Amino acid sequence: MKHTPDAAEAATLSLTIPAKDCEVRNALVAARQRLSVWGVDQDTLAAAEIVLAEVLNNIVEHAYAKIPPGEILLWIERRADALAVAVIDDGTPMPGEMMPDTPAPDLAVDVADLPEGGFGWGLIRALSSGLSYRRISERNRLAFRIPLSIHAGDA
Amino acid sequence: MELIREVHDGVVVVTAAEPRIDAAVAIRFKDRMRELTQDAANRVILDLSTVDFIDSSGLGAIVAALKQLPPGRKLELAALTPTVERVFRLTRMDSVFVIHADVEAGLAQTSVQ
Repeated sequence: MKHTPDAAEAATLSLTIPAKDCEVRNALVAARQRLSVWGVDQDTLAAAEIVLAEVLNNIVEHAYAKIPPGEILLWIERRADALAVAVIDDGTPMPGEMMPDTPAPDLAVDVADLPEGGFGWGLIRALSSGLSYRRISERNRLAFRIPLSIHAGDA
Repeated sequence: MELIREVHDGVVVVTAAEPRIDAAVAIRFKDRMRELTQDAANRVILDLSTVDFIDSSGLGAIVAALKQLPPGRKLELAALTPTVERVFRLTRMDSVFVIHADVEAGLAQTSVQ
């Protein structure tokens, strides 16, 4: 009898990523390959890659902005209905030890005034669920889920 | 950062021959786009058909490429792959750019609002 992985069988990935742009890129490609091996569908793969890119870029650009870049721990577990993700870094805390809650940038402006940033958290919030941030023992810990087959929540 | 420039009937077509426009290449992309489009006398179409992934840094770099065009010129986009299209849609940047199904469709359109 052919063995097929049980959907409930635990599949976990943990990566230690140096906090640099090029290392983030390598980690995203590696994570996507692993999730693909787990049988995660294309829409969910794309959502996971978009969210992880924004989360990891934020850490490189903000948490490690004023201190020597350290490492980022990325942990992903496939569950029945979602990918559970935790991202931990040793950088500076988010302002006020809270996730930013700024509104989406205004696009109804002259071309010269169009925003070139400020889109990351909107993408993270749009494509993830159960987002939480905690500052624990001098570390930042962001946790969230990427629902499997995300069609319904993506419109 | 592999960007290839061609001119078709006065329209500058820049092909981004890269799998990703992300934080690792965003600044180079923006600088290279300035070099390739600073003399654009007409329209500019950016062909994204080989770009599989973009993050918000890459998105910001495309906005910057629009803003640094000569006055009155517009940046149009062509051939968005599914993930790139999704990022434009979720950030509503699809409302800022004219987006063509592919370069041929963009070139066939003689005037753009």
